[in-house]
Formats: sequence, structure tokens, C-alpha cells
Amino acid sequence: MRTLLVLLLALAGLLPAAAQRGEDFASRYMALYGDRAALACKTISPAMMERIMKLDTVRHDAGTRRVFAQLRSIRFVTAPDTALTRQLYAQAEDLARHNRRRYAAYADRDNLSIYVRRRGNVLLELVVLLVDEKRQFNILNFTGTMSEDFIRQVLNI
Amino acid sequence: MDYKYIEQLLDRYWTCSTTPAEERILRDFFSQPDVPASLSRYKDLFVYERRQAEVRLGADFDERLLRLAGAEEKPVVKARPLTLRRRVRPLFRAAAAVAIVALLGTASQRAFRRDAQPAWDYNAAAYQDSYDNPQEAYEVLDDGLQELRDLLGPERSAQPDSARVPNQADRR
Repeated sequence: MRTLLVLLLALAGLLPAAAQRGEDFASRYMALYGDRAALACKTISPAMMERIMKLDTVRHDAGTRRVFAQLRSIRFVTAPDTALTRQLYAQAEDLARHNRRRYAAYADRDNLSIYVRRRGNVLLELVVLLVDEKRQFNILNFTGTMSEDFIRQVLNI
Repeated sequence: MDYKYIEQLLDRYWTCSTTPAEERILRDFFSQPDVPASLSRYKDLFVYERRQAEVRLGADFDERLLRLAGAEEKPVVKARPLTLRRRVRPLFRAAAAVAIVALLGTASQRAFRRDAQPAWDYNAAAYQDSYDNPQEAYEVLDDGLQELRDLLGPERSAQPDSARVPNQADRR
């Protein structure tokens, strides 16, 4: 009986860890820095992605459909305050680097960094950190089961 | 030796006329090792009480009685100090059980999904939509992808600070 109780407690202890594993980069970033900077986060959920897939625009465009079918959720984080752009960008890069076992650097250049979370040949998450033309900091966070070719397919839409 | 007095006492004893003091005299007399042959037949009668008083229960009496009654002896529970190792043993057992279950689960999952795509392992309930209208959401998504296209497109890549081409080491 006591062993069973300890077993249940151990399983209960694993639940927060499992919940944390199901968190994407943008939501983690928002949890860490969202209340310090005026960050706006727009979310498209898996349920909304399914509805988007049913739109005529998507159904009749094979290229778009192929790309969208690989996506499950999207989050766009924007920081309108350009004074914080450098700081927010550095914090996002630090977060990715601190989780380097989860997020591998895919590409980087000035004002743009791409990190991916992969399993085998599949990209489960694509994180794009960028500074746009208005000098605002943005995070584009895609999750899904994306192929290695996903970015090329995006470019070809 | 004259045993007249003893014989008189015996006669009185048979008629239940002896006093306790006289009966004690008889008992003492017959307790001696040398009792005349004519009186020895009464010896057992007077030493009986003393002999029976000396009869004691044997050391194995309880055990024999319990055995006869068919009852098992209760196990003796001895208090032993509980060491830290003994105390956390259930925790180790539980951890081992969890590890075995997790290992078997993972192994079976891998066996069944060897060729399947890895599962999307995010918590779908954590996504609260910012849009109600799928058309609006589509436009936002399209804008996002357009931004990605602009950033990664060929004209941008051609700039001097173009993106470092990711190699296999980066990807792993």
C-alpha cells in the first residue's frame, strides 16, 4: 500500500515535467519577459489551423496546403517598443542557448536567428527571432511536424 | 519397636476421629524411608498429598498443550531500529517500477512507430486563439510566412552578411 502511494506520488511529480515539455519557445519567452516589456503575442491554435485548412483559399492552393498541413500552431510575438529591441533579442537568444539541447541553431545573420527543435528528420518547432524594418523585435514560432524542406516550401508558395 | 500408638491413630483415622495434629503425625510417620512392613500398605495413602504437591508442570507443558489444542504459537515480533536505507526502500522500489513502466512504454512506442512520424508533443490546451475568424487568422499567418520569405528569400541571402549556411553539425 505504501509502495503504491509512493508510486502515485512519483507519477504526480512527473506531471509538471510533462506539462513543461509541452511548452513552445514563445510561450516560455512570454512567461519570462512578457510582463516586463509590452509584448504582444498572437496565437493560432491547432484547432484554428484545422479551420484554416478548410478555407477555399487553402484547399485550392496545393503549395499553401502542403506547407500549412505541416503546421499545428503559430505564435507571433511583437515588441512595439524599439528601445527594448536589442535587449529582448539578446534575451531570446540566451533562452535558446540555455536550452541548446532542445533548440539547435539553424541559421543566423544580423537581426535574424533561426532555431529548430528536431526529432530525427522532422522539425517539431521552428523559432525565428528577427528585427523588422521598423526596428521592432519579433518572434515567429511555428510548431508542427515539418519536413527538412519546409523552409524551401515556404519560399516557393 | 512398638507401633501401638500409630495403630491407634490409624484406627481413629478410619473412623474419621483424628484431629489435624494427629493426622500430621501420621503423615510424618509414613514419610520416613523406613516404615515397618505391617504398615507399609498405608504409606501411599499418607505420602500421596506430599508427592502430589511436588509434581510441577514441565517446561514444555504450554507447547504440548497448544499443540494438542491445534493452536499455533504466536510469532514473536521484535522491535528493530529502522535505518534510513530501509525507510527509503519503498521509494527505490517505486522509482524502479516507474522506470520499468517508462522503459517498456518507450520501447513499445518505438517498436510500433518505427516508421511513423514523431508525435507533436505540445499541449494543445495551452493555445488560446487570438482570432475567431479563420480567414483573419489565415491572413495573419500568410503575413508571417511572407515576412519569413522576405527574410530568407534569395535577394536577402545575396547580401554580404547573408545567413551562415547551416551544416549537419548545426542541425544535430
